[in-house]
Amino acid sequence: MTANLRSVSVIGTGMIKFGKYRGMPVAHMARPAVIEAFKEAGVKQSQIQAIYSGAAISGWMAGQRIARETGLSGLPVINCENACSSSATAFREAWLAVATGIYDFVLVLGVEQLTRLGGGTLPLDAEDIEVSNGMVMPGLYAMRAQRYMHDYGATESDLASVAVKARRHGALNPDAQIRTETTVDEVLGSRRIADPLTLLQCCPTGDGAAALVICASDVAPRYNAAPVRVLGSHLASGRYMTGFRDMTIPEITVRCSKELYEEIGLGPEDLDVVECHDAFSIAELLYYEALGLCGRGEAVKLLHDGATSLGGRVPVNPSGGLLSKGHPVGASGAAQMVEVVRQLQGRCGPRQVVDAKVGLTHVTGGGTYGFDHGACAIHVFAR
Amino acid sequence: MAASQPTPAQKLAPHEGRVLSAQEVMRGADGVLHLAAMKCADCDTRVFPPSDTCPTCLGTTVAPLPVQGAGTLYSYTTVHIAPPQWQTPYVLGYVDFPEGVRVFGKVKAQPAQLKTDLPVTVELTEVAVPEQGTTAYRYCFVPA
Repeated sequence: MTANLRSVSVIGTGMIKFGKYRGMPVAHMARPAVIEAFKEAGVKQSQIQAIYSGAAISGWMAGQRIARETGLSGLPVINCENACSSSATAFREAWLAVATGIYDFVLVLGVEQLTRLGGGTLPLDAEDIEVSNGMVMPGLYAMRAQRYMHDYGATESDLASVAVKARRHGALNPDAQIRTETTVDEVLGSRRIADPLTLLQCCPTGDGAAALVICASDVAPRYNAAPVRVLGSHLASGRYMTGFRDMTIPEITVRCSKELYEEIGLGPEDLDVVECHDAFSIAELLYYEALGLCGRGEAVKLLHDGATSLGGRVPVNPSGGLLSKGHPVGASGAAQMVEVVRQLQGRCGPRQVVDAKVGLTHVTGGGTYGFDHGACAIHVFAR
Repeated sequence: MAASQPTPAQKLAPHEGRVLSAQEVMRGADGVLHLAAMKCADCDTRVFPPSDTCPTCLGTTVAPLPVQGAGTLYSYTTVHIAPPQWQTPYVLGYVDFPEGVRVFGKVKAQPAQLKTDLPVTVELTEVAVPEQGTTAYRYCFVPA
């Protein structure tokens, strides 16, 4: 499928430090990310032909509101809502538009202000038959954890170790919402949310924004000395499964990654760095297996061997991930891409993955019944 | 007509779940009230809650399927943090029934009883719906 498409590169990245921007207009919050991406890209506002914006709960037309504050009003704006995959979906649509030659320069946005909700679990759709029976996102992941512990012998301390690793990485990231390290004991001793998950195994509530400028690869070096190519982009939606299913296999991520690997002729063994959707501790373990970084039931060993820590074979979430960097839902996909692009450019200082050449970003999510998840978007980048 | 005062939201007890529609309950051959799933005569899709159109093949030759055997608790969690209408803590679980459907709901059990693959049955509770002059049902799972 990719054979007839133009190669596309990222020439500019920007993000704000994730955290709490309660009461600040969303567009003002996002503006510094756009300015940073433009500076990096060295493009003028007049060169941008369209805006693809991802947000889930931050109000109508987030893209236009940001365009108003950044001298970009009047351009076609495509607002994408796909739960946690919103801005990765926006990126994919932008990539398609440039790859097919419809546009040459496009701005991708990811933005979210969760503090406007007032904290607690994410508000899910009351029409959903599980939500109206008490389902909350931590509860869904907790049930995956419970079954995974039963099937593979993982322990609560193993789960906590995921959060410890995330916080160790996040402490090195100035843009992370939480910048302190933690311990297994502290994680296990934190407030119970949905057994076996405790507070420090759940991503924090916060706000954030990220932006990327992309263009055709053949002109990219004129704008950025180290452009990063998009090797592949894939989007999948949940399959409705009415009967029994194995909740320890995130079906949508397995399918999405498999199809992408086949499309681009690369496999998990080719990855130097991964940013994955660690909204809860158990999630990262399940995604190690789903993305093919290890076999079934081997995630805990992969983690404890240090393979996914900085300095390991394939560092996962060097940014601190959603657990430490934060998870402003619609912004997360774009922020993962900002991290991976900068990793591939060698710009990440103390959290730099040495000699990273190929990186993958993975977001999934959307709590709605009958699916593993509603949406999943995976991208692979290379320098 | 004067606008009626909204009823203050009542907290739901830990084991109280969603109020079922009339299509979601049925009497089995045994005369006992059960949860009603759906079975498609054309493609054999079985699904709870039921629908008048098969979500797989869009066929309309669908029949109610009573969920009457004991199921097994596929997984569960005790929820401590939830939106304000819920009284916490409460237990959630997925239950696999021999009819081939997995049903999500609240579990009424002591913490010490909870374990993966625990045999459970459905407990239906009557709920009065005064404005409609009818009764409806809630369900939860209880150890078999």
